[in-house]
Amino acid sequence: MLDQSVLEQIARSQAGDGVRIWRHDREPISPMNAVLDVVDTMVSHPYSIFWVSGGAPETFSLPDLDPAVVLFSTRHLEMMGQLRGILTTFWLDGPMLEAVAEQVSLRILAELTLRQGDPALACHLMAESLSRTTVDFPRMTLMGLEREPISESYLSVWFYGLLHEMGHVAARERDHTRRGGPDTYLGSLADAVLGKYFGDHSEAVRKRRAELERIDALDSAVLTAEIDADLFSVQALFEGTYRVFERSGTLDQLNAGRLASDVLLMFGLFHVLNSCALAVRLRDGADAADLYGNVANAVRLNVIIDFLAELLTRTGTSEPGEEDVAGMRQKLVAAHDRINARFTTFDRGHALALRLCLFPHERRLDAIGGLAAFLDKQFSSAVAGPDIRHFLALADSLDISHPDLDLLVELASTPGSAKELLADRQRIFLLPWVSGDGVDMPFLLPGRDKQVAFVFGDDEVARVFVEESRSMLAPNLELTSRVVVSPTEQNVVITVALSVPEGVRDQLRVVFEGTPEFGEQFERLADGSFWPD
Amino acid sequence: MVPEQATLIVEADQESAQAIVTMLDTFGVTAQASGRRNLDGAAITSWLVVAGLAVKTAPDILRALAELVKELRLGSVTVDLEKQKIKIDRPGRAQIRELIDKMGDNPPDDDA
Repeated sequence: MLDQSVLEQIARSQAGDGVRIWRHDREPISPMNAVLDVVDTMVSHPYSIFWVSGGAPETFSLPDLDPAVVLFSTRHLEMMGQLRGILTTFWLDGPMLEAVAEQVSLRILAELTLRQGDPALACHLMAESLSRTTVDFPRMTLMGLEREPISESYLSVWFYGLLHEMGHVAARERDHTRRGGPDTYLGSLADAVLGKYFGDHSEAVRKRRAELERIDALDSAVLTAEIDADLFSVQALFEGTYRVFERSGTLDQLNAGRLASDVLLMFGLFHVLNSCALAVRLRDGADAADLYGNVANAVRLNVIIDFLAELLTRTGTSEPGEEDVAGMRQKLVAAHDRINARFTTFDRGHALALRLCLFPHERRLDAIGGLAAFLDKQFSSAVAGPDIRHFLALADSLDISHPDLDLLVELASTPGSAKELLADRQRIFLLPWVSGDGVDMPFLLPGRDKQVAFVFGDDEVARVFVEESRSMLAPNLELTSRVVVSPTEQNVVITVALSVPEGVRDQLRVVFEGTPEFGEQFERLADGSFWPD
Repeated sequence: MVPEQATLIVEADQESAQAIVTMLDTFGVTAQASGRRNLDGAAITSWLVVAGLAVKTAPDILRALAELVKELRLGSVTVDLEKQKIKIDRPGRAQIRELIDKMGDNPPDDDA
């Protein structure tokens, strides 16, 4: 068994060195410990929960360690709380809800991108978010969450995610038989959902999936593991909620139907956060796209609804009748449809944010200029200030430094003259450029799986690169160094993306002199491993 | 006083994690490995290997790791000593050898 000091080392290695972590104390009487008391009756494998304060919004587990390690992120809680607030504020609707969805999604993407080690893009996404602020929806803080009255919603926001991770720990001890039925049930459910999603194309999609032979979200073992964890979290949440209400003497106020609706809402909110995490992983092709995440989510949702229907109709120890379960299932589907109507509007803004993360050519050129203009408006810095400070604190805790982060610090410190400051902070980038004979675009080197554009800051290095690369071009083409003046790297990335042919954009990689990746790519050029086979 | 124990933490893909566990076993070191499960329901792509090493044997183990690293996909290697933590992201053979050198900067205690 790993000892406490090693567990802390593990937790710190995952959370980041500058992030505050501490082991959860099981002694105090608290809703969390009441819920964990229930977990202890369902899980015998030892586990350690570590709180992570600040850091990226990621709650996750290492369930196969002994003891298992679960990292419980306060930032994840804050985001779930904020997303829940947005989705349940019913005067926020239509275009306003879409706008708020885009803003908050961009901020989530910015934080996750920072955690993934791309501060330049992270700063850009923050700038896009802040400069588009039309409705300022207040941030949710941990303190704000703690002050909420204890209710079904309170418990589901705080503990649904944690209990899902505990479900993975619990899965170590089970015989891996899916709680809800045999694999044939899951297989046919997945098939039915896939058919609904892809319609006439579903056969082609099935065939393509079989050809790829890749483990994806619909893989039987992956899907079973997630469903097991989902159902564990529902069971534990219901029993934990019961215990908390019982202890506070308010059991007569517990509304199981309301808790069930909260579970469905939380499941949808996790999908929002998870789709941001997926977009960040996909943004530079680091991860092959798992196209079946949405299908898997729909399968999981169906199983959760089935499970809830049985749970809500069970009375005492007797099994519920089929008609009662079917009736309850209809009510839950209706509740989900009501929630989904809000998500449909939210998703329109959310999708715009995801596209900005994934597609450089769709990002706004000079978003940083837009941010500076916004900060110069009266009261805007009061609106944007807390979010910028929080973002910069995250960068600090992750020990990330970058010129674009320094620029953000300066802009935030000089509201009222941010535009003036920005004009003084222009940087010179040198971009090798091909022209002649109908061609006018950045020079790209065809790497193994990427078309790479190298961007330089040093005159001499750029000159040598251009000279050595000239021989690669046809005689009718000219290779020069084009100057791009910009306060940020992202403007250069966007410029390159907009200037290359459309068909090349999804393979494009822009690499800046002075970055570790620049060094790696040049090493590969030197040893020949850069080029395709 | 030089710490007697160090903790090795390696982030890798599943195949690489398994290879490291096997390698450590040849040195009589029992390692633990776990996939990192996020809330997104995606297939696990990141694995963690954790092992306690005697400081004296750590250089040999790291040399063996340096030999393996060409075939492996490592996210990071961390060696945590009591007073020092050394972490290398995406290490190649040369970087692991540098890590061994850095560990060697801890002079042995006369009492050890």
